[in-house]
Order: sequence, then C-alpha cells, then structure tokens
Amino acid sequence: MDLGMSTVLSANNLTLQHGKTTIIELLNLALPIGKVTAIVGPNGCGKSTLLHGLSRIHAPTNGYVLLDGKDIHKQPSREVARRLALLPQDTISPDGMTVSELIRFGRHPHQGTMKQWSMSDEEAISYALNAANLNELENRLLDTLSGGQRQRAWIAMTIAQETPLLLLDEPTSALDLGHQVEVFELIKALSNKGKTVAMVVHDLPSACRYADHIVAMKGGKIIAEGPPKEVITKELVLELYGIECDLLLDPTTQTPILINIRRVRNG
Amino acid sequence: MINKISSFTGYSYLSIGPYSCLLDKRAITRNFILAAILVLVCIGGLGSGTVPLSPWEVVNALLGKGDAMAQFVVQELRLKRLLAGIYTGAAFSLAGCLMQTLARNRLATPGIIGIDNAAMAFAVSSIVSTSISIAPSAMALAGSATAAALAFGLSAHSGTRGYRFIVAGIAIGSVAGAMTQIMLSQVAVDTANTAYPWTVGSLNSPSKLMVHILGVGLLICLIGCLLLTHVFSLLPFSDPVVTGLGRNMKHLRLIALSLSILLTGLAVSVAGPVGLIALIGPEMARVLMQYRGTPLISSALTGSLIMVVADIAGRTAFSPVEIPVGILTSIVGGPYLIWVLIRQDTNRSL
Repeated sequence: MDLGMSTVLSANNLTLQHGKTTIIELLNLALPIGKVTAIVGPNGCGKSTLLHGLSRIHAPTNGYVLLDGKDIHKQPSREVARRLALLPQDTISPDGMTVSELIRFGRHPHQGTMKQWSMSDEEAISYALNAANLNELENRLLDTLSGGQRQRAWIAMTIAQETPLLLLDEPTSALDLGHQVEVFELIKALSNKGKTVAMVVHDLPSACRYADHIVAMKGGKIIAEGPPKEVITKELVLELYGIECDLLLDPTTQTPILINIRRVRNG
Repeated sequence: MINKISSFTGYSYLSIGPYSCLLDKRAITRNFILAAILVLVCIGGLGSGTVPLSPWEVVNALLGKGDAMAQFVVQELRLKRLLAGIYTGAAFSLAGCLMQTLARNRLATPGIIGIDNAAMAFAVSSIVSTSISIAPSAMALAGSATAAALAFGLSAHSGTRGYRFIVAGIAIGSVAGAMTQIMLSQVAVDTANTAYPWTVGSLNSPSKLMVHILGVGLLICLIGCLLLTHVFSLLPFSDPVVTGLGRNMKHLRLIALSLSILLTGLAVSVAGPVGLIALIGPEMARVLMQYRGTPLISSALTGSLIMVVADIAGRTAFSPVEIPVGILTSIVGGPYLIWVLIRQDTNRSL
C-alpha cells in the first residue's frame, strides 16, 4: 500500500490559547518521517493541546501547523483527512455499532455524495482488520469488547483511513498493562510499515520503549527532544516530574528504564 | 441493481451509474414492511368514516375508476386529510430524530426551542384578532420561522449546541405559550373554540395549500437526508473524531438543525402542535432498528404511521365526536414513551 510516505507535519512558531490563557507559545517541531514520536511531560504541560493543534482541532492564535509545507487550516479538511488520521482521547462509541462498521468510517474522507462505497473501501477495511488482528471480532458490538480490543478497533479505523500520518492522544490511558502492550505494539508495527506516528503518552518508560523520538514538554515549551537514549536523563526526569530516580538500560531493548523513583525532599 | 454481495455480513453493495453505496439489508427489509403497513392503514383509513368503503372501492376511487360518489368521498374529502397526516407525521418524526441525534439526547425535540408554541401563538392570534386577516396556517409558519430566527439570533456565536440556544428556545416557547393563554382568555367563547384546534394539534381542516407546501418540503428534506446519510451518520461521534475524518461538526449540526426546524415549522402550520410524535416516532424506529445507526427514513415512516392511525382512531372511535389527533397521540403516546424509557437499559447514550 503506497501511502505517500514523505508527508511532513511540522509546527512553526505555533501559539495556542484556551480563551485568553496561552498554553503553547512559539513552538517549533517537525515530526520525523516514518518514526514514532512520543510527546511526554507532566499534567498541564500542553502536550494534548499540542496534539490538538497539530491535528487542526485547535486553531492557532499565531504561527502555523504545516502539512506538506502548507498551512493545515488553509487546506480542505477532507483532503487533510486523507493524509492525517487522528485518534482523540474522547471517543464515543455509538450504540449498536460493530467493529467493522466503526472501521468503515475510516473510509469517510475517501467517499463522496455519489460514491458512498467502492471496492477499494472494502480492500482497505479488510487490510485494517488484518493489521489490527481483529478478524475474529469483525461482527462484535463495540460495547462487548475489552478496552484494549476497542482501542484496537479505533486504531483500525485510522488504518482504514490510509494516511501516512497518525496522531494519537493518550491511546493507552485507560488500559491495563497487557492491553497497553497490545496497543503500543500495534502502533509500532504501523510505524515499521512506514507510517509517521505522534502520540501523547503519560507513561515515560512506555514512551522510551516504543518511541523513536521523544518530545519532552514543560510549561508549554519543548525542553528536550531526540532519541530516548540520548534525551532521558536523571536531570530531565527531575525537571519534568519533580522526582529523583536512577536510570538503567533495558538489557533487551536498550531503552532507558526508571528505577529507585522517589520524591524530592525539600531541605 | 444490487450487483455484488458485500463481504460484510448483513450488507449489500448497490451501484447505479455513478452512485454506489452500502445497504443495510435488515434496515431495508424493515422499512419496506413499515411502508407496506402504512399503505394498508391508509387504504383502511380512506375507507372508514360515515360512508364506509371497501379497500377495493378505495383503490378504484384513487385510480379514478368506479363509483363517482366513492371517488368524490375519497379524493375530495378524505385524501387531503390523509396526506396531511402522512406528511405531518413524517415531518415531526424525522425532525425529532435529527434533533435527538445532534443533541445526543433521546428526549430532545424541536419543541424544546419553542417552535411549536410560537406557531400556536401566531395561529391563535390570527383567529382571535380582528385586525390580522392572514390564514392561521400561514401565521403558524411565520411563527415557527420567528421562533427559529430568535433562537438563532439570541444565541449567535455560541454555537447550535450551546446552552444559550436551548435557554433562548425555552424562553421563546414559554412567552409564546403565555401569549396564547392571554389571547384565549380575552376573547368570546366561540372564537376561543375556533382557535382551540391550534392549541392541541388537529388534522380536522388542514389548509390545502399548506399540505402541498409541506409535501414538497418533506420530499426535499427526505432526499437531502438520503444524500447526506453518510454525513449524518457521523453525528453520534465526538467532535474531534468528526474533525479527524475531515468534516466540520458545526456545519453538520447546522444542516441537521435547519432541516429539523424547517420540517417542524411546515408540519406545525398544517396540524398545529403534535410535538409528541417527535419523541414517539424516532423511539419506535430505534426499537425497530435495534438501536443501530440513525434511523432517519424509518422515523419518517413510523411517524406517518402513528399520525395516520391516531387520526383514524380519533375520528371513528367516538364518532360523530372527533378527538383531535394531538390529544390522542398524547393519551396513547405518553404511556408508550414511559414504557419504552423504563424498559430500556440505562447504558444507552441516545
């Protein structure tokens, strides 16, 4: 499947506000192509807002989000949706919807008033079902699935969208460890096939384990950026979360893991 | 026409020229059954009354054959009322379904923004007043347009889903309701009696012109809904999901809301406020479709069916006394609605 893998998403002097409160100011970022980028940081650091900005949900007060070099807000939303898929945090599963019916909505940007369905839609959906390992659950109702299965169904919807870019807002926030791994491995597999992925992640060790590129944010600014091994230091963890810890390298994946975590004692 | 069986269970792939879509076989079957029942009820309804006619005589009379008397009774006396029932039922119910889908609330109706009450107030004012000589149905239409415009105007810039919109609508509705009461209390009993059908909803003497206008409006809205099915199917999703799929939720809501208001406005100007149909019709359609998708077409069909049945019952049950259709739908519909809501599992969001 050719997804036009060279699609680039970047932020240029991006300023995002909620009402009069500035959340993010003059931020610059370019997502590495074909890699998984994890946006990490403490609560309220603006990481979700940044993702909303990048996915055109939140319009900037200043600066630009550029998709293939052009302002994302100046491009027709449906055209953007053919290159950039989004999995927001607050997904509502409509009543009585089956897995394959949900995945079908991923084809929406490719359909028109007249051509509401075509054989290429059918192919994209069976591809998505396969990729997310949902073949056996195809006709199950979403409400009857486990949290991890449901999240995989939503990701499958974005796979069916056939976009080179995928943005996810805390895709594992409500999942237990097993389901987290299930979802992260799916995301990693998508990136191995060439998709550019950016996700907001709460859990720093998971971010280190599954991301190629870490964007660490605090107070609406990027304070560190790069491969996990280079970026994650004791000092950074202290600055981000206000905790002391020691770092080890995971012997199998060579990614940093946090041990001996403790609260900073004042005085 | 259906040239390929889709690999999805329960769906067929339809392709006519440049148009192609996926059809939910179960929904199609059930809608056909609903439509068939509606046709049978209509034939029965055209045959019932002070001059009873057999279904065969009714069909012949409709085709312009047979007995001249039967033709006159069917075509001149009963058809207009039947069409008024079919159209208003479909319009109220479709409007309700759109409103409930966009508000994500099974109890939302266009009446919540005061359309019914405003139409009622305007219609009553045209009857009780000596200076206004416009037909009540035209005034009702003007009333619904005014209510919609006021609700939009008062909630400008706050979006169509904001509380301001609803609060403005409730205010407009209550003011209009109070005005109706004042007007009715200030006039002679005879005049109040004439105005009475406009306060409860009745198909007793619909204006022929308004029935035709409603028919055309309904047809346009139905075609619009069919063409926009794939877009309206996004309404139950959250705003960011819809944005991610390349649609603007605000535009979607505005289109659905406008259709809903247009349909209600037209229907109210034919039959007065029979608002309960907007709750019962879609609810029945959802039950029939087992809570899958947004049953727009089914809602239109169930609405017509309820309205026609209620009207037939209202004019034959205690004949020669007629019970206005609005009262009958309330008496039967209220308990039905309560039953449905109680029976329903609590985890349904819509």
